[in-house]
Amino acid sequence: MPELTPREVDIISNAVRAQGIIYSHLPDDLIDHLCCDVESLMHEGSTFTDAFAAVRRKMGSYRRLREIQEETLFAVDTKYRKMKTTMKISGIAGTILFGLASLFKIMHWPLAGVMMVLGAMTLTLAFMPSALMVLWKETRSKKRLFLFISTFLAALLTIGGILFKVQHWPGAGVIITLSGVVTIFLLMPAILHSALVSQERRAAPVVYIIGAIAIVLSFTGFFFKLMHWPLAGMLIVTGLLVLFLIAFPWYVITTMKNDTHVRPEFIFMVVGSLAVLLPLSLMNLNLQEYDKKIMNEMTEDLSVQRNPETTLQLSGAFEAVSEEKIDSKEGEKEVITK
Amino acid sequence: MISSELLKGSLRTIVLKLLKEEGPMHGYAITRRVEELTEGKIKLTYGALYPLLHKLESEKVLVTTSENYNNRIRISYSLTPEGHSLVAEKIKELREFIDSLHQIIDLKPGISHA
Repeated sequence: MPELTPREVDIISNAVRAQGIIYSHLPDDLIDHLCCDVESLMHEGSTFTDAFAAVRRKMGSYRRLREIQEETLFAVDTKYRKMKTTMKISGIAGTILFGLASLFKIMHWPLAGVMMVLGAMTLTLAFMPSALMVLWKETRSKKRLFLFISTFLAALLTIGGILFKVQHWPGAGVIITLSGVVTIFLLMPAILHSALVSQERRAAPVVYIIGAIAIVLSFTGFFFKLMHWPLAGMLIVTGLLVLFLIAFPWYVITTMKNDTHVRPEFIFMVVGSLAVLLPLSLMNLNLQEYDKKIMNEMTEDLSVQRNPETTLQLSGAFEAVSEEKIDSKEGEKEVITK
Repeated sequence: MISSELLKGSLRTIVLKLLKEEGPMHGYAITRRVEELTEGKIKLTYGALYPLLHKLESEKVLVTTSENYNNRIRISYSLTPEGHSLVAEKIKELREFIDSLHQIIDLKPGISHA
């Protein structure tokens, strides 16, 4: 039986560790098993490269090793098993409740408020903590903990903010502001960092940095718009233009060269960006109309305040008109009586 | 080749019996030995094997030892005293299952109505 050189063992063990296999002695098990598989193919005459490629092909999906780790955790760790079930059930239940609640709210049906509170509570108190726990058990990396916690915080604040806003509870503005701050200053840097250090990175670091800046710009823009602060339009336009004309095409072009098949992340990215941007743009349109209305009202108020004479004239004219109407009505009456 | 669906319930017994008869083994050796014994009809994938081995270890049926082997760490599994006492029970259970299956499979038409 041919024996692998230390370098060849390193190649295999790096491939296993790159998949994030960390549970107990599972990485050692899998590395040894793959090494044995490769050695037995080399015994039949293939080179290391061919043998390793064949073993990987036989493994099927590139996520296979991770799945084995998840199955192992699921079989061994009862807490993980419970958390995963909680995560699935509460995730679905919370989303359904939240969705139904918004439908009920739009239709002005009763119980919308109760459902929304229940949905938000399921998502924040059951789904988010269990998801955090599951992710932690699966990766156990301190580096990613920052990402998980900032995602958790951002989601918690966003859901809370929506709930408070819709229910007209006090403090909604503060919570939404906080969620914006957390998203821009904690979540985005965390995502960017994890994309940059990830060993599965697909494109040049510049693309990720440009993309992150563009997203931060447009988010800040939307946030400014919500708060009716100046420069919102410019921020949104710059952010979206950079995102859709530079970062997105660049990313797609570089990754298309490397990948022969469409990765799930790609579909997720397309659907996800639509899901975020469409509502934001629609909301923005609403806000623009709202702004216009307020502006009109304000200018009217101002003009009225500025020259009290016009007000008087206006009210005088109004009185005159109403008198005329009365006159004409009386006239009509007279005609009728005649 | 026997389908993994059929294999699922008996995998635990197969692993325990093998470790009892052949002593400590590592994961790859288990799959290899099973394949030899069944002339390639039963192929254990590591996707089925390692979750089971780790579960048996957490139930204190197996213990592991690690050694350096050719630039890598090799984990070997062996039965604990509890594991040893479990094997006989599991084999008996599997044998009963096989016998019951025989009774169903060898059923001749009409006999039960006689």
